[in-house]
Amino acid sequence: MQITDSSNQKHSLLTAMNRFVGAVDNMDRTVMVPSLLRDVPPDHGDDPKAEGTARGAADMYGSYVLLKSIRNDMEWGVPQGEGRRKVGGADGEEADLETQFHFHLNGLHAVLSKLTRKANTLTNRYKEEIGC
Amino acid sequence: MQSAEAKFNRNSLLLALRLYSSAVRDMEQTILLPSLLRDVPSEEVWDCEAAEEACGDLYGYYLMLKAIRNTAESGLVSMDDRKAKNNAALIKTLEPLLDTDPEALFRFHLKGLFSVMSDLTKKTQSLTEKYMDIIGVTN
Repeated sequence: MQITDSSNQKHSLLTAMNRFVGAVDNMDRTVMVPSLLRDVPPDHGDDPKAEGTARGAADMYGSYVLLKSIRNDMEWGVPQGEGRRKVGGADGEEADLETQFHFHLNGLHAVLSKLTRKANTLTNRYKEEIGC
Repeated sequence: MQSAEAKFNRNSLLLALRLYSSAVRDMEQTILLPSLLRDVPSEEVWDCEAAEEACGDLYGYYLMLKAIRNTAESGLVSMDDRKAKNNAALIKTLEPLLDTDPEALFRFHLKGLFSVMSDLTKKTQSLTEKYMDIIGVTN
């Protein structure tokens, strides 16, 4: 499988994955003292309705831990033990594999894009905190 | 930026995608006369019933598996209208999670994609074997 990052692949899942991992790595390298993020309120600038409801993100430290955990899931996989939740079609029967593939591909792309922005925001916020 | 590829280990999504690509490549190299698959009924009829286009024979299935491989490799995430319509209701239900619980949504899609790629890989291998039955090649 060709791994290229040309401009016409900027919407590719692979690019989204690489960007996310890159953003988390950058965050990891920058945040030398993660405890400085404790009690720093999470930045909800781009999704105000998430304020107070985001699970595990009571402060920026929570976001930091979450992002690293998700990066690990991507590198190491997640347990497949429990049954796959079926993606139902319009009338409840299991959607065909092709539809499921597109559903999950798009969904993963959307989540990764959002989380990449979150990681970058966190890195910048940390730099502000330490007075960079 | 160093390619992240080096870091993905055997459980990673990248590997699952690679295994699928490999199975499809094997299928393409084996199936030199895809037209032999026309009118051979697909045993997995349920896979086709949910799809509106006719893929009731193995030839349609063969084309679908190749199309999915192309999408997985190029990764272009635009979907055609039919697929978007099928998923629209579910996408709408999950949308709020993008803000409130991205971790859960991520794990849902990651597991889903792993599972789907694994199923597709097995089906690709089955189709290749079926073709070999058709042309009378015994292992």
